[in-house]
Amino acid sequence: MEELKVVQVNYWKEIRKEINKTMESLHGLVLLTHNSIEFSDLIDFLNNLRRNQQTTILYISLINSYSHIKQTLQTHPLASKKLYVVDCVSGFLLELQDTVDCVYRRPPPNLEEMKNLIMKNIQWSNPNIIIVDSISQFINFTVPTEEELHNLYAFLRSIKEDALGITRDTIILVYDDRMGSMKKLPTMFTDTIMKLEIIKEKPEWKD
Amino acid sequence: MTKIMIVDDETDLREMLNLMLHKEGFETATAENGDDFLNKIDEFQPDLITLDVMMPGLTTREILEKLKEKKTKPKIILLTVVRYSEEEKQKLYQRGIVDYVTKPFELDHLIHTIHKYVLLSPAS
Repeated sequence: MEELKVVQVNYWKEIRKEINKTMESLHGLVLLTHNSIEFSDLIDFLNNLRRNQQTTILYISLINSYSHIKQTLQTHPLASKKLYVVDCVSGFLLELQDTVDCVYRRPPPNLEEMKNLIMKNIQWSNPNIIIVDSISQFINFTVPTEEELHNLYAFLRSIKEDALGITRDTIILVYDDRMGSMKKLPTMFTDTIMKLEIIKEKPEWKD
Repeated sequence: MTKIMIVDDETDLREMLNLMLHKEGFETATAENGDDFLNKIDEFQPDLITLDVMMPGLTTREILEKLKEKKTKPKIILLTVVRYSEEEKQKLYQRGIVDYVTKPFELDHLIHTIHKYVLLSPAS
C-alpha cells in the first residue's frame, strides 16, 4: 500500500451551542469557508450576526448579480441590516445604471485591485461589515502557488491595516472550498476562520 | 459534422473541453478571449459555442454586440460562476443565448446540455 504523507491538519469546532455568542462577538478579519452555499444561505448566516442591531453591510459580489440578490431578499429578508452592493458580474452581460444601494463595477483582476475596490466603496456605503464574495477567484487553498500566498498575505495585512476601523470592524472573506481540501489555511492576519456547511437533500415525498 | 467552438481564457479547461467534445464526435476549435473568438468565427463557422462569461478583454456584452456584425450566428451556451435572477435569464435568452451552465460543472451535464441544442444537426 502506498504510504501517504500528512501535509496539513485542520481542526474544526462545531459551535451550534455557542452560535449566538460567537456570532455576536464576530469581528476583525474573518475567513468564511463553505460548500457552495446559495445567497439565501448567506442571508441566514448574516441574520445570526449581531441580531437586533442596526448594521450596515457592504457586499462585494463576484458571484451573485444584484438582481439575483434582490430576488432572493424578497423571500429571505435581511433583518435589521442595510445592504449595499458592489456588483462585479452583471456588467459583463447587461448595460445597467448604478442605484442608491448598488454600483456596477468590473471585477478586480487581482487582490491588490480588490483592495482598491473596497477602499473606494467604503466611502459611499459607510459599512460596519464588509463582505467579499468570494476570494475563490484569486486563490485555491488546495494547490496555492507561492506567489498566490504572498499576494494573499499582502492583501490580508493591507485591508486589516487600512479598511478596518472602530465602526467598520468586520471584514468577511468568503471562500468556496468545492475545489478541494484546504491544505493551506491563511492563519496569519485572520482573526477567525469559520466553515459553514449546508447539506441539502431532495425531500422524501410521502403519500 | 457539428462544429463547436470553446471560448475560455482558462487554458486547462479550454483544452480539456476541446479534447472531450472532440471525443464526443464534434468538430472543435478554441479561442482564448473575445477578440480571438471574433477573429476565428467566420472561418470556423461553429454551430454552437461555449462562452466563458468573465474573461479579460472584451466583456460578454461587447462580444454579443460585435457578433451581430458576423455572418455566422451560432447558438451560445454560457459558462459562468454567476447566479442570475429569472429576469436577467430572460434578457439573456433574448440576446441569443440558449442556455447556461454554472461553473464548476460536471462534464456530463455540459455534454447533455450541448446535445439539447445540436442533437438534430447532421453528423458526418
